[in-house]
Amino acid sequence: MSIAVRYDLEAGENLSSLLAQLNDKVTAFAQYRAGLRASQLDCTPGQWQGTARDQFENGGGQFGDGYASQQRALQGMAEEALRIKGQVDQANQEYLSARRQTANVS
Amino acid sequence: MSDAQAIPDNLFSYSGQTTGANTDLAQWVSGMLTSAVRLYQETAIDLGGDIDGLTAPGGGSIDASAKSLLGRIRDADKQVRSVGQAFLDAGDNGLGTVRYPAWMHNHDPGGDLTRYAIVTTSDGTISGDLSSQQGARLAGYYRTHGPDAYVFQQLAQHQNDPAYTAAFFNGLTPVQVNDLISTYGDWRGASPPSGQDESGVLATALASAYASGELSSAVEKQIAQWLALMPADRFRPLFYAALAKNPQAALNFISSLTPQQFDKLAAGAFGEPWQSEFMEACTAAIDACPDGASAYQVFSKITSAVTSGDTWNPYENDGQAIADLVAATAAKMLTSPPAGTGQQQLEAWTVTIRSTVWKLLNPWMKWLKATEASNQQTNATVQSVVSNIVNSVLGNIPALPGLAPGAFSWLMGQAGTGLTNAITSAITEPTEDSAQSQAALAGTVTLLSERLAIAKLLAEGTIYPGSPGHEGTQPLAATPANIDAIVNAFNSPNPDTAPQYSIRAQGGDLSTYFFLSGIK
Repeated sequence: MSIAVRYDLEAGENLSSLLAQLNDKVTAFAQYRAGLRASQLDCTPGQWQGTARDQFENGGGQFGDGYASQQRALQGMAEEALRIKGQVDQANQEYLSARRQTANVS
Repeated sequence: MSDAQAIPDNLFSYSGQTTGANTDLAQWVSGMLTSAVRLYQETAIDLGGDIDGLTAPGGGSIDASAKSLLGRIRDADKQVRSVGQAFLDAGDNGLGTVRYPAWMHNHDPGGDLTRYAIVTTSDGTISGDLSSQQGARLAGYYRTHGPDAYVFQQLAQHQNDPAYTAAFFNGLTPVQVNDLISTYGDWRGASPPSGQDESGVLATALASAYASGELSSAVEKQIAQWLALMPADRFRPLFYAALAKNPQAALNFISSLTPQQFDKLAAGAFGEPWQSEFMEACTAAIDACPDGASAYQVFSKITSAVTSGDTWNPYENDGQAIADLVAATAAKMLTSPPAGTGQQQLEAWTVTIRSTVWKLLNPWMKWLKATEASNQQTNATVQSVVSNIVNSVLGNIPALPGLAPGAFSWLMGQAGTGLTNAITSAITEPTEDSAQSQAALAGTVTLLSERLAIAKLLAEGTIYPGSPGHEGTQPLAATPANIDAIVNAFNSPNPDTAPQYSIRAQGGDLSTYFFLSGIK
């Protein structure tokens, strides 16, 4: 007797790979943004200063919640991608285990 | 206001590179990740079906969260470019200082090299320029999409921003301005199409644009033509009301009108309450005038336009509108009493009070007389209008310091009653008595200024009981009773037996203040 587990391993492995890439890409983007901020906005002389800069950093006006909050959100997004990847990987392993058990039974 | 500084090109560089990387990442999420997530959600039936942020019911998915976050960040980073443009504009327009960094010293700064310089300007310049850029962008959107819900939502959000609204209206063609007003401002149904106060938002936004002083003449011309040509509509009273709340906008608006347009709008139309609403806008404009002379110019303009017409149909608001107009002008024109009791200064002040009161009341009195005859007004209505006007003028005469409690309001009350009765009489009496009534009015105004002078002298403690050389030791207090007593003494038919008064400041006879001779 065989047990049919409704799960697409290929889709799970593909998603796992993409979630790892998402972690890398989001992290890289946050670092790229931080580097540009340092080189372009905080250059000396000519550092960007004023109310608009304050809003850019801390939120307000047209800058939404601000750079610091956005960078934290990017970091949180990268961690979230890894958390979900871990659960997808676990599901993938469970599927493989189930498939092995099925093969052994048969 | 604090300073702001930046190198425009650095802000362009940051914005361009971050938004470029952001767009690449967002496209990867939309293309690769989203399709993988969808496939997983469809196939993870027996396993992986309860992963938060992926497959758990109601939890959303990480690709959607990523797109949302990247969108927010992209909007913020794109705004950095607008800030850079604002600095560049400030540098190019002489609104800040421009310093070239050391590496450019071997080059020849000029032309379009401002973008590489350190520009220092005020925060206000940057925020104003940002508003202008955003307003211009909305105009660009409008030119493509027309007056849709997004345009209204943005206008509502920025309706009180002069730079934004001016840039928006300036970015439209005259035909588009017309369409905008027709769409939002001139609906005729029982309720606006969107269920929101579109007309009110448009009226406030347009007033803000006028307040900026940067509205183009083409737009001003279109607005004036629209107002002059259109029949009764919902937008007009709302626009006038918005101007009434925004003095600088009101002043700029009426200054933009040709004499013909001004007269047309001022005349209103029989059966429509525009006249009082237009007058209230003019009253606000007077509030924005820098001095009495310019205030009187506006007063004369609207007064002449309204009083030379024959369309007055006295709505209940009219009396208040006239009173507000007169009061605003009086507040700008009437000066505070002189510091001392020197005859020349005191006389000059009372002459100013007298001439100002007369200049503000006289044109409206003549007009009320004419309209009373043509409109069959009841005496009570006229008296109410007159009372409003008179009290508005008197309410703006600067209070005299040093008077007994209640003395000044008593003085104004007396004058108010006298003036109201004299004017009402001049208006409502038969024509043959008009000259006599007008003389009574002039006499009442004179009496007011003279009583003010006596009150001032009393307040300074310079009037003593008794004839010169025999005066008492204590000066008379500035009380209503003393003011009355002195006036009555000078008006007495038997001056030899009437009470005598001395004035110490002059060293003798109160009558040396020759301007008081009218009440002797």
